Amino acid sequence: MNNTPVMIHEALCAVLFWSVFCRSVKADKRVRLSVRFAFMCLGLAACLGMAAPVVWAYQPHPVALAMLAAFAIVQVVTAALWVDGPPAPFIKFRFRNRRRRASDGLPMVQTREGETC
Amino acid sequence: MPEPTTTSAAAAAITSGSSHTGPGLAALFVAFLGPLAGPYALIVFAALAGSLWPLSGADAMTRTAGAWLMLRCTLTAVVLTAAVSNYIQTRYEVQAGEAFAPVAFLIGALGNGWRPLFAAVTAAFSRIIGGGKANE
Repeated sequence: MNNTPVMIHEALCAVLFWSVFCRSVKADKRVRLSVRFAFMCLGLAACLGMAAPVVWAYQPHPVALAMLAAFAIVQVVTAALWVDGPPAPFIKFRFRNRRRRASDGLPMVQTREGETC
Repeated sequence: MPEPTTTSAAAAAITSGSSHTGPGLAALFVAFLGPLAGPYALIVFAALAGSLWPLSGADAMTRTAGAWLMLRCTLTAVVLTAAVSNYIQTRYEVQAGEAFAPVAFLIGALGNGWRPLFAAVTAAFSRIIGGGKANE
């Protein structure tokens, strides 16, 4: 019996689920509902993917595996954006730290050499 | 708990010696965990998916605390899903086996929201009892 595709499928689904779990741990009610919903859908898909070979004897197609791998890679790569919590665009507007504009007349924050925000 | 279709599929795979890849894993699970492995796996995974919602809404926490929250939601779903599904089957004529996943998902998604739910149920009962007394 060749279970390799199923095992790869399970591993990729586990990676997806873990990535969603780590993001959900860092999220809270300040995060936009659509973002929370999107990650829950991704987690649901990952869970269904993990259950499918066990419950419905699902056999993954190579194309499905490729798409799953692509999703997993995206999640792993974009994990860097979540190191300090949810990225600013994902936070509801009223909870965001509003950045100062040059026209405010207040001292601006120095971010990089020669660059202000 | 009624006989799930998944168990039959896995059992057929075992007896026929199927060379497919999927039934191998299913058969392995059934062999190790018994005939209810499929439905319980479905309940656990659905509850895990549902518990992501309260997890993402809770204040930022550690991974360990998040894992405990998910474990609590999942175990609650494992305990309650079969009973709720059987009740749904008797009341609405929906097969219990088909209701496992959505029921487990909803119980998982309820998370820590049991207190407001009980409060709402209590309020409803109070209204009914109060209304009954008022009519007497």
